[in-house]
Amino acid sequence: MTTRHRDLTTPALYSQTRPSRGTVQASQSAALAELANDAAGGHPAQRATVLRNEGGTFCCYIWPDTTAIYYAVRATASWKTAPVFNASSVTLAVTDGTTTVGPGASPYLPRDLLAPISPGVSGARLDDFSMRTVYVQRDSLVAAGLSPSVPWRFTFVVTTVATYVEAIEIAEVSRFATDTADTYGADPDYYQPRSIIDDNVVAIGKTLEAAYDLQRRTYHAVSLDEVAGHDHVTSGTYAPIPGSQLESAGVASRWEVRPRLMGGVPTVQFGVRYRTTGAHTGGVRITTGVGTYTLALPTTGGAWVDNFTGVGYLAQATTDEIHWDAFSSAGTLSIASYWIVETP
Amino acid sequence: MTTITTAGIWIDLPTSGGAADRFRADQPLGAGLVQIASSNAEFACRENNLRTLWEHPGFTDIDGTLSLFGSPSSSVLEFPWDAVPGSSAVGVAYAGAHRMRGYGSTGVMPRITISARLKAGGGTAGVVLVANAGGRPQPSDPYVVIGSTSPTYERKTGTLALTLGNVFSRSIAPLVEDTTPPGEPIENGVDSIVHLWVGVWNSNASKTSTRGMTIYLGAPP
Repeated sequence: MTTRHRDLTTPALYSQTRPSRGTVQASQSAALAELANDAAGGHPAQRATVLRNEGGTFCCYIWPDTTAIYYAVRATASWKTAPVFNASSVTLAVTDGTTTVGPGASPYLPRDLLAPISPGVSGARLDDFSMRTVYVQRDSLVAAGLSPSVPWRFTFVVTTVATYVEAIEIAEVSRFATDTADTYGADPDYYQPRSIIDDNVVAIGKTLEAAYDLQRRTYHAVSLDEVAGHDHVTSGTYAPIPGSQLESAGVASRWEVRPRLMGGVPTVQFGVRYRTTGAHTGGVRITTGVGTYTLALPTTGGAWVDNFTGVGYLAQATTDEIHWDAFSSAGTLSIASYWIVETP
Repeated sequence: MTTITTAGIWIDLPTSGGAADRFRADQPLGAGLVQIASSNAEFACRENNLRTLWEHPGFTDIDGTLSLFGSPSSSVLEFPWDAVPGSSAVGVAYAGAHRMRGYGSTGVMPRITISARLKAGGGTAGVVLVANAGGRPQPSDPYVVIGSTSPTYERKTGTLALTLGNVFSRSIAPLVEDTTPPGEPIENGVDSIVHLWVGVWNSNASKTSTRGMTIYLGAPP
């Protein structure tokens, strides 16, 4: 394995200097390699946010089959009504549905994550915000046995004492290297003046494909407390979901997103983390500018279950609007997380 | 002279590694192919960068009286960012720290776009989005305001144009912690980020409500 550091730069390559049937200069190929690297690894787009809370269990989702290898996790805390030296704590467990790492101390998770977060005591809430950022590493979790080809659930358990956790964020981080262990990545050093074109140039094509295929944009991620703050569905037919997805009585909240316009109609996978109170079933659906797409939710017998197998499409436009509906065949369908992610 | 870096669409090339791969070994590397590949790479850099940054279900019945943003630069500072959560006077949310990179090679930042459905029970329902280096929003911080006097929900969208001077460096060098002692970072570097803050108010103590609040990056004009 050979790695080569790269800074986050985006060289400008003007078409006029590469006329058809012209001769390619080595510097042009080197710059193209750098630009392809940036396209593939410089702009990963999965993320999720847990909003302000006083504690609870929140689940976020990342699909690890992209070019990103680090996930930045940032927790921010401040006091509740008056400055007191009290702490918030956040634990993290990551699972692929089969293997789980955490929530306690694990060599595969950042050790700093478990340290309490204490806000300041200056007297102004905002000035007393305390933030901690750690970086979860994909390769460590794969080494621990998680599969990189299925979505991972990041479960945050928040405990507070007279404090709020203002936000927990998780986001993919740009790549800072090319690595021969990857299936993509083009080393600009291969393109020296007056050298011959050898088979290293194939890496440019692979890297461009990674810029297209190994990218997933999170379009929508809402994480609610599994313990007390989730949404409840009792309607026997598809209807707007009371709680986080309701604009007003009988009207669903509509969320504006920016589709990734790489050509063709953007495809998404969607779903929820849910449970049924009994043996009944349910369903969720999203409506976009293209159509309405449904996802059947089998009974869970009271357990929380992830189901992100819904498939839909977004408008091939600079913006689209999404809204959710759901039904429960009987009893209550509870929903704690909503996720819509691109399928390139 | 107008310079072109991308055709603005993805141009399909034969599958990498396949028999028709234009980049396969021993093939001539013509300038036309490099032109297409450069166009695709520039286009992907631009498009991959645009993404959702934050979403919030919204605030209900915010009824404090605030006459803000008549004098814009001072009002960002005067907004009651320290309001205790749960108070109906104003809504305040820390919308996170987000990577901000240029729109491809243009040197121009993507537009930070806030979109929400607003209604005002009277007066003006307002939402302000501020971008800064972290900490209390300051008068010099870039911001955008969206407002509505509609008694029913209507979508309002505002965009924030940042410059390179508005983003801040973040060093990333996580140790490999599954060894003892921890190993050197697999890779490390510096990216640029911006912190976002959202405030919600009403101009005359009527009730402001917001729904489906999203912040995303859009293409610059």
